Amino acid sequence: MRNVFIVSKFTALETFKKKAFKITFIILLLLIIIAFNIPNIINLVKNNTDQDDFNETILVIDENNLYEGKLESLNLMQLGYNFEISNQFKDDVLLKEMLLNDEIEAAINVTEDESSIILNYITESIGLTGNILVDGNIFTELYKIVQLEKLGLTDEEIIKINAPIIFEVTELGDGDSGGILAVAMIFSLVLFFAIYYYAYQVSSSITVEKTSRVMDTLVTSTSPKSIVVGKTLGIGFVGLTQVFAIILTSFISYKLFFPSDILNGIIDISNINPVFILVTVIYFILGYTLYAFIYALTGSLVSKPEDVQQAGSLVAIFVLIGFYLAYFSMMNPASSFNTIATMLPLSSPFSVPARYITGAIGLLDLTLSIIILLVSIMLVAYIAIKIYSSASFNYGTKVNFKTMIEMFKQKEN
Amino acid sequence: MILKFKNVSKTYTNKKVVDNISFEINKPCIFGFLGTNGAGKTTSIRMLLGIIKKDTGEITLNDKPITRNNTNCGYMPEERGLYPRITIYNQLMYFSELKGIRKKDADISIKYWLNKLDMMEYINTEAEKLSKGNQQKIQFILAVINNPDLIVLDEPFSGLDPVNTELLKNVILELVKDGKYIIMSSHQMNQIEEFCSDILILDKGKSVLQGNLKEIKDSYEVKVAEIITSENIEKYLKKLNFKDYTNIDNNYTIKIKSKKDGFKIFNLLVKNKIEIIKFELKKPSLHDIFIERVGK
Repeated sequence: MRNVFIVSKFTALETFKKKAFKITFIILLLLIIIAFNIPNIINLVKNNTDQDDFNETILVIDENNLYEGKLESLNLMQLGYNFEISNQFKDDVLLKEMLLNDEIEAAINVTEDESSIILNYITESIGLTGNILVDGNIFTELYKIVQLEKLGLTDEEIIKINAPIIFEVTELGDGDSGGILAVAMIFSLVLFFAIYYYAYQVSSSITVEKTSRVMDTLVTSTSPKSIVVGKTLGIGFVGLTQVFAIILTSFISYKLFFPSDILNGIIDISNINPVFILVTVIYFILGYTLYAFIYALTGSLVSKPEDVQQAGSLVAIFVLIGFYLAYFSMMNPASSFNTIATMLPLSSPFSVPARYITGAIGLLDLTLSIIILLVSIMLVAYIAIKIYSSASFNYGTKVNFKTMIEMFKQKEN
Repeated sequence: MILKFKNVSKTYTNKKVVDNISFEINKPCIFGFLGTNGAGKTTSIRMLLGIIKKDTGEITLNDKPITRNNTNCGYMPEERGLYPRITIYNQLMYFSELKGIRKKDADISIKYWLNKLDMMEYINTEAEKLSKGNQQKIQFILAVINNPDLIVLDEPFSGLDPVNTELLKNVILELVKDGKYIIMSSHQMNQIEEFCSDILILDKGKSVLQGNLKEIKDSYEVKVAEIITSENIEKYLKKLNFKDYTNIDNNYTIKIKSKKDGFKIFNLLVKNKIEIIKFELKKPSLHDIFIERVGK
């Protein structure tokens, strides 16, 4: 036990000391702060742009007076541009000259054929994004008003005809509101990345020890069990600290910088309570531990750093299967996938916290899922440590499944 | 302390890599453990260190079976390995703690050994910035940092310059004086001859020669006569029917069957008043014995 602690302390401290780790971590925290400030940045840029836009002119040419003078009302709609209305034809040469001299930002030529009104949007270049400054629907609505007025309808009648139709959904079952589901998905995604990233670090740490040949000295200094368990705990501690720092930074940034009304109706954080956080932390630790032991196994099987990714790709497939199983069950709350995703150790770390926040999992299922995950961890740890003992001395020879079985059967002191 | 290997065997995937080897070390000394690549040396060492388990036989220290936990061993592996980006002090401290030394005692031990091997100036240097020879010295410190009774050194001098080789030789001899049991594996036969009182030669997992090095060499007949003369003596060698010899500037190495052959040559040269600068009858070196036993 003492050596497990020494290995984990050494692993964690040396990871924290790495310059690359420090720089990446600081950049990540800065990116989070910036991300929460994006609405403020957009608003700032928009305000400046809006100020500029009011100085920009869009020329609307209605040669045949199809809008019967109603186009002037565009300037009352606060669309961000100054609309200049003209009933005189202007050829392309003149319009081009006006565009190049920045007299106008764009021009809209209104014409008609037998069955429709044609709006020809004229600009210098539409660019890759296809940026059109004016919404064509406004012209459609305006044209409708002109025609309705011709029929002698009052303003109230016209407003009634143009009233927007709002389609609302109310869930009366055990289903989840979209806001909570969005939070569940975010947590599931964060757990997926965190578990995958930190578990992978165990694999690469073991391979570094093999390639630098420290392994020979290490296994004579302490037992394989102390090395594998110590390393898993050490990197897990780093992961937990980092995830905690990321969540704390996100929370503070959200409170300080993020406009509170912007995610109304999209994200509902009312269900985030201490029990949910505890469930999430438990599943992060258990999920990480399970995958870390699997990665410890693959790390000990390879001798070159370039082979780590190849050996780890099989585990990556397991992680992805686990995540997608959790994802599909979230998308279909009534599906039988939910039970599988909750009980299967590969998917439960991604699925259960999400199901918990949506209120779709009972205490019995939760307990059973944790027990299955714990038993799986012990089983995988036993296999990983056994194979690690033999595999750590294997340099150069490619390991296949048969060799792995032989390594597992190998006697050890 | 008595270390015993008794009929020890180990098989990997139907291949017997160590086949029924036995030896005993019962006094502080340097024991030479020799063999070609793949002869079973490393597997034997790993069984001795308790890292892997033997299939059959007994490995005991003071009549108690060796396990990882009950043996105070030091090991310098053939393939050197240090954490490249960790300072020397931190990695020595890490391994010291893993070997059960308290932090305070480890600190004293680390500084003692760094001073002894002229490495104190590198205490806060990352391992990757050290020369190969200096990394080797750190690896040696790792093997002795916990003051083990039994030390296994695999190719301890490879890559060291003559000055550092001499420094390490003296340290190893001091360890023997302090009562340590040292098992040394090397391909450099001159170093084994210089250091080891007893040897064991392995070939394909089997012991092909073992015992006291002096007794082994004494059991061999004289095989070579080395003669330096002031003039060419080839006509005398032909007269005595010696055909297997080399001559470089009147420096002769002649293969003979016994001491008697050597004296025949000597007498003939004296009789013909040839000036003899050097005359030596030599028994086979450990290198020759090794080649004879395992060379194909």
